[in-house]
Amino acid sequence: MIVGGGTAGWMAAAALARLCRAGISVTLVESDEIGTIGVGEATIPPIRTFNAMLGLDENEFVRRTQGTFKLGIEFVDWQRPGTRYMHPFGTFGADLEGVSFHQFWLQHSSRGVIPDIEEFNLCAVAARLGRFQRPAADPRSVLSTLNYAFHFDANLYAAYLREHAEAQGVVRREGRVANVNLNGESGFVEAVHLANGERIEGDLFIDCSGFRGLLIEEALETGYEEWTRWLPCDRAVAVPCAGDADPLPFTRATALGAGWQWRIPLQHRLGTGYVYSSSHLSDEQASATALTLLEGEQLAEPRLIRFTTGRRRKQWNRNVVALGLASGFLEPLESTSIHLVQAGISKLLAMLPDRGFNPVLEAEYNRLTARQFEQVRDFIILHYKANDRRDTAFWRDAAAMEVPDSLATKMALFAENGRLFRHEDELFSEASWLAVFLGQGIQPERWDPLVDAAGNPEEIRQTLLRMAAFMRHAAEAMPTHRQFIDQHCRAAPAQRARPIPMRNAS
Amino acid sequence: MSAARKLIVIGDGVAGALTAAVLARALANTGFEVHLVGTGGEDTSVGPSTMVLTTRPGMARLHRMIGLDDERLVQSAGASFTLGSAWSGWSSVRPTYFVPFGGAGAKLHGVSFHQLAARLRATGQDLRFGDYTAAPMMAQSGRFALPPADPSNPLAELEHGLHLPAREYRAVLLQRATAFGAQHSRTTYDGVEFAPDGSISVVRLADGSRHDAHLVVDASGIERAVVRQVEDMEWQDWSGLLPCNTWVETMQATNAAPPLYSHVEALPTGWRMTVPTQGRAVQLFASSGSADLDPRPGSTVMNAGRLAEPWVGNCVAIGAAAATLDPVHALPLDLVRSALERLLRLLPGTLPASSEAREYNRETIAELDRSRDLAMVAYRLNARSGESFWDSRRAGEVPEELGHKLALYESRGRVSLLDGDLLDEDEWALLFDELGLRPRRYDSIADAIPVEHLQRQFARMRELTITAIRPLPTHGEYLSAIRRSAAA
Repeated sequence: MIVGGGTAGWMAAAALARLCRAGISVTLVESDEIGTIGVGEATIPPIRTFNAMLGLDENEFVRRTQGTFKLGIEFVDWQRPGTRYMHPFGTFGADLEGVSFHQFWLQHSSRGVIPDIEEFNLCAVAARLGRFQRPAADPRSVLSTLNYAFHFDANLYAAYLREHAEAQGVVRREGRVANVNLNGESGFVEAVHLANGERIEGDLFIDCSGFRGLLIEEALETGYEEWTRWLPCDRAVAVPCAGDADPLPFTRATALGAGWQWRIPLQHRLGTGYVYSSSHLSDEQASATALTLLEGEQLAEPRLIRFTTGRRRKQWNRNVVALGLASGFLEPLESTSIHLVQAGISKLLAMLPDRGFNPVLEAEYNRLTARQFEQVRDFIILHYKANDRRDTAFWRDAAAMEVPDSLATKMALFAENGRLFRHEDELFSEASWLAVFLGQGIQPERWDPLVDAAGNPEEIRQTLLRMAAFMRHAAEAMPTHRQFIDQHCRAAPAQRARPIPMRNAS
Repeated sequence: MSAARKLIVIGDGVAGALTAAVLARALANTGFEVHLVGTGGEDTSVGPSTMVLTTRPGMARLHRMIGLDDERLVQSAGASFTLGSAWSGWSSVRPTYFVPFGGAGAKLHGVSFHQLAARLRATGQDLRFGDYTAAPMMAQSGRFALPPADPSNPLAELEHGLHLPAREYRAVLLQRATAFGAQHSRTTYDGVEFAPDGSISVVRLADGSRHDAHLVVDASGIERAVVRQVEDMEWQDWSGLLPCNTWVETMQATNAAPPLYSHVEALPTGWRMTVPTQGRAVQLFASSGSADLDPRPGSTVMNAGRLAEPWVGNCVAIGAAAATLDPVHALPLDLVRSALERLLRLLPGTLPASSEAREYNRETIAELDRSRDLAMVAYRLNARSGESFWDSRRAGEVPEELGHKLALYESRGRVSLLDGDLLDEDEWALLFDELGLRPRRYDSIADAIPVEHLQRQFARMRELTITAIRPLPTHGEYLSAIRRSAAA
């Protein structure tokens, strides 16, 4: 029993649809009256695993969702105005003698005799050149180091998944939930009442009702852990405009006075918006800024979104599992919103309870999701903490804040010797942390002492230079992003002209 | 004065020799000097097994780094190959079972073997994981060869370890350490002196010489020669969780070819592990000695436990000096390996190195605690009723993480992997399964594959594996061939 449509609801429905074959009924209740919020149209590579699990054809999926390909995120003006760096998917260089590539790079970079680290990442090089192709399967090919995700229209994605889910037996019920029945003894949710008086019972409820958390919070009072002391942004204003003929194969995040602006190229438009802190900027000022920054014809009125960064204390409580905004919110700086939904779904599938609701399943689910939220949170905080902008109170406050211990340790280890540590189940790879550490201007004081033992520095430098040249040749031989889309997955042009109303997705 | 920074390893047993070889190799020509100093006495540097040691598959990487490989260790240290361990007298489901390195079976369409097996069992078919896994089949047949490079060969992913006679292995390691420039002191350790900030400033040797220390590694085993002198080092006792504390080792010579596994047999008040290698077999008896009895002559007393923090100031404890773990799963040497790989990643160029120490401790403690949990599993799930030693092991508290892991597996066949786990999902699942822990339900993902298809695939898997094993040489022939190739 899924409450709420939108991206999270339909992702859950599509994934749980397989249960229909086992005779379990899956119902989704949503109301056309209730507006939903797009949780972000930029994604990270694991989305491909999710789509593959559903059996979606990738080209068709891109075509149906006005999608484009994404090789990374460009951060503009984050360290300070005038700076930019790429957080690419995929890895940097190749390790030598069992020592990480970046340690050698640090050694030579300290002497100023080596190109920027981006030149050693094929995704970054290709992104800068506006090129794209899928990775090669052969691990010996440099093209195998490519990694990618998508930009897509979350409304269209939800609609596409809805078709998929309904075809497999998921039942959609139209209606607004007016009331929730709890069992007097166990406190479990027994049924929801719709505004039209209908009562729908269920064993397991999935709350995809958005920020308010109709079941997880309003009915079960689970509680919310706020993270605004680290991530003070609490509003966003979204406004789409007409895009380029040649969409860039990456997301761009540009730091502004009281937050940052996203730029997400789709086939039919460009999604943009300003994420800001309402204590540093008024809504009017934010809208005005967002409109000034538009690169093309405005396609819809600016839409205001309010949020509180944090997570639900338990994302699984009794017989309710919250997904999407109902489970918590992290700003889409690293395009993680859809991923967090997907990760919740795959954990739920692995721990699908029976009517006994063994508490160990709930405990494991909550342990894993809490940890994942915190790891993503730390990574996002890093972008704010490590800034040299001193131009506005917003950025000065961010630089002065005290960060969680888990992040402080990571930062200290990197600042000393450029060491990177990834916990086993951590979403962001060492390459991601490296890109952001360096991009935000954290230059380690020293490099790993093992580098000095690895061989003649000049010979190593020549090896590194060959790596970079190799990457550039490989990238230059790739088709442009536009060419790739035209050849494989161009969307129907009819939809390109029509402005898309901004409604959807929890 | 030379500005060389000295890394001083105290204890020249296996753990210390390995540490010195690895550090000397990694730091050649970097302005670091590696010194190795013995403490005299028996080599307890790894743990209660002092005559023969077991490596797990991950060790090959570290060996390669110091120029060692399986062939060389077979030739010069008397090593033999191992594919895991056979257990008897523990399980309610299986009177004997086999725990291979690398877990059971293979994935099919992304679904874990143990979930598929659970699905087949739900249809009434009884099956053993070991019948579909190369290592136990090979161990049973006594045939062995290093895995082929062809990835389509069913033996390509076979994982193995080594049984290594400790004295010979130590000699090889000392030779590697000195070849990489480590200085092995002729005299022994005397004591340390501290700087005002609490770090070790000077290491004193028995000949009266004094050495300024950059970093001190205590690899002296249960003696904890250095750690004992460091004030902030606290010890956490695990004897309530892991009862065995009295260890007796015996060795027998034999002409028979060594089996490809160790054998762990539960006894009424403990267990016995037989570890074979070329020309000999070592037996380790484990029991729980009581305080009012004098320990049996020739036995070592070692309670399970660990240092609260293995790295304090500029002193890092490694091996049994850091933690004494019940060796029922042959983990002690693997813990040394893992600690060394971690130390290499975190080796400080300058001091103090508080962030490095904090990270090192965080990871090491997690690994030690999870290894303790692993060592507890066979005790916890034992099926020997009517014997007070074993009955009491099934009852009582378990650490929260282990309780959670057992409950989750029992409920859904899912393995809760935690930071510090040395086993992967498949390995845990196999261990639980053989000990008789059966999930109440399997993962619904396994339903996506039709039963007939599964049965065909399982049968095919087994047949291909048998076909691949049949032409291999026996373990004895294989060892002889390696020894001959050295002589030639």
